[in-house]
Amino acid sequence: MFNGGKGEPGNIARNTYAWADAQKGERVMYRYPRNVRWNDNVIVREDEFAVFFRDGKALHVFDRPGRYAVTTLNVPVLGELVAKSLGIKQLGEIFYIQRREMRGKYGTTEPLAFRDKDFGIVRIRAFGKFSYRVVDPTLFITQFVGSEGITESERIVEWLRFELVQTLNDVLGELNRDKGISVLDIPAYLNEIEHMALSKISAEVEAYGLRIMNIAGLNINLPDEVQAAIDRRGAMGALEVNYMQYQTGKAIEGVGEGAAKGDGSAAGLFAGLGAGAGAGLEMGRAMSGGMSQSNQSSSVVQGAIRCEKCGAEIPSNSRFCLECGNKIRMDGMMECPECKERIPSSSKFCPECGSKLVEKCPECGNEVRGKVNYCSECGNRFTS
Amino acid sequence: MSDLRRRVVEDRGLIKEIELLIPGFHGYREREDLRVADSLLREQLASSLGSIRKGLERCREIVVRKKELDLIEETGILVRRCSAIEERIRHAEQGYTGISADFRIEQVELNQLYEWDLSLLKGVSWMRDTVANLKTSLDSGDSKAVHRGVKAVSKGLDDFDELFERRRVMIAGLEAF
Repeated sequence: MFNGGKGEPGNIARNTYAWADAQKGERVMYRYPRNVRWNDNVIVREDEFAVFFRDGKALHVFDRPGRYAVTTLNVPVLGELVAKSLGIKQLGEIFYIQRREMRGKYGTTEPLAFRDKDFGIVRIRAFGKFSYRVVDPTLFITQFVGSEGITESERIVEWLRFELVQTLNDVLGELNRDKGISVLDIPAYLNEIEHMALSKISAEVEAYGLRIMNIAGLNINLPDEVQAAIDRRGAMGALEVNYMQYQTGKAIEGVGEGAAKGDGSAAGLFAGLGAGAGAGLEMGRAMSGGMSQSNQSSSVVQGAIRCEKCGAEIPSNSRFCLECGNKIRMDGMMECPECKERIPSSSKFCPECGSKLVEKCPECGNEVRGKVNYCSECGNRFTS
Repeated sequence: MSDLRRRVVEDRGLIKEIELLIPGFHGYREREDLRVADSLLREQLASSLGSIRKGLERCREIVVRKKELDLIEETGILVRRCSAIEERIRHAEQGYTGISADFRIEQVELNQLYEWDLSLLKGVSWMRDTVANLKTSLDSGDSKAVHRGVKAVSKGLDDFDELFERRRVMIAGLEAF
C-alpha cells in the first residue's frame, strides 16, 4: 500500500512514506499502518491530504503537495529512554485522504412507503449516483476516526448512502404533503428532487468535513402492479372507455390472438370467443361492482347491442358482429377524419390512429370536432 | 491586503537564500517564488468564490424550504457553476516554462499573472453583493427581484469565467487577433 523504507545514504530522513497512486482506487481514506517516529518523511501529492495525528489529536493537515518531516518525541533510543524513565511515549499517526471527487451509487435496500392520492400507499424504490469529496480533512478525521471510530472507506460510503436515501425519503414525503405530488408526477420533478436532496443533505455531511458534489441519474421505480394500473389507466383514458369496456376489449383481443396462434378452424375460434368474451365481461362486471342480481345466464351479454342482420347480442364496442361478421352501425358513433374508422363520437382522440379530434378555439375556447376551418361559436378562422 | 510576493520573499529560508547566490539558479528561484505567491493568491480567490458558493447554497436552502419548484433547479445550477469555477481557479496553470519552451513565461509575465488574479478579487466582491441581494429578495418573496437576481448572478458567473479563461492566453501573449 505504502512506499516506505529506510533512508538511503545522503537522505537524512529515517523513513520516507508515500501513498502509491495505483493503490488508491475508490479508497477515500487510509491510515498508515505503523506509527511514525521522529524525522520520518511524509510525501504528500497534489491529489491528497495527509493529517498528522499525535496522541489522539489532529495536529496538522498537510494540504499542499510536498515532502514533510514529522516531529514527535518518539526519537530512536531517546524516545525509549523517555518512555522508560518518565512513562511518556508519543505516538504519531498519518492519515492519507483523497482530495479528488469520489463517485458512488446509492439505492434503497427496502422500498420507501409513499402515500399517494391516487393509489394509496405505494412502495417505491429509488436509486442513482452521487459524487462527494473531502473538503475539511481535520473535521473528516475528527468526526469519523475520533468520534465514530470509523477508519475504513467502505463504512464511510455506506453511511453516505444511508443519509442519501433518508434525505430522498424526506424530500418525497414533503413534496407529497406540501405540493400534492403523486407518483405519476415524480418523473417530471426528478431534477428538482435531486437539487432538494442535495440542499438538504449538505448541512448534514458538512459537519463531517464532506461535501456531496452532485446527485444524478435519480430513478424511481414503482411496483409492477402500480405500473400496470398506470398503464391500464392511460389506455382507458386514450380510448375513452370505462373499466368494463376496456376489459371486454382486452378479452376479445386475447381471443383474437389465441385464434391466430391456434388451428384457425371456425369451431375453435367461436368456442374461444364465447369463453373469452364471457370471462372478460364477468370480470368487468365484478370490478365495476355491478354484479347482476338478475337471473340472466352468463351467456347473455350485458351492456351489449344487437346485430341488425342476425339479431345476435354482441359487446357494445364491437365493430363487426361476432356471429355473422356484419359491420355494425351504431348511434353515437362517428368516422375518424384520418383513418376513416368508426369511433365513439365523444372521443377526443381516435382510438385507432391516435389523431386529435377536438380542438379548442383560441378566441372563445369553444371545442370544435373534426377538421373545420371556422369556429362554430365565434367564426374565428383557424390557421391550420 | 499585503502583497504576497513580498511575503514569499521575506519568508525565504537559508537554503533558498543560498540558491539565489548560485549562478543559473537565481532566476529559477525568483520565478518559483512568484509562482508560489500567485498560487497563494489564487487559493485566496478560490476561497472567496467558496464563500459566494455558500451564499448561493443558502439561497437554494430558502427555495427548497419554500418549495419554489420552478426556482430549485435554477439556484441549483448556479451553485454547481460557482463550484466549477472555484475548482478551476484553485487548480489553474501556474505559468511554468520548460528549459527550451516554444514560448517562455518570464518574471514580467508572472508578475502580470499575479496582477491579473488580483484584479479578479474585485469581481468577487461584486458577486458577493449580488448574491446577498438575491438572498434578500428570496427572503422577502419578491418574485420579480428574485428572477432579476438569478439573472444577475448567472451573468456575473459568465463574466468571471470568461475573464479567467482569457488569463493564460493574455499573459503569454498568444492571442493571434
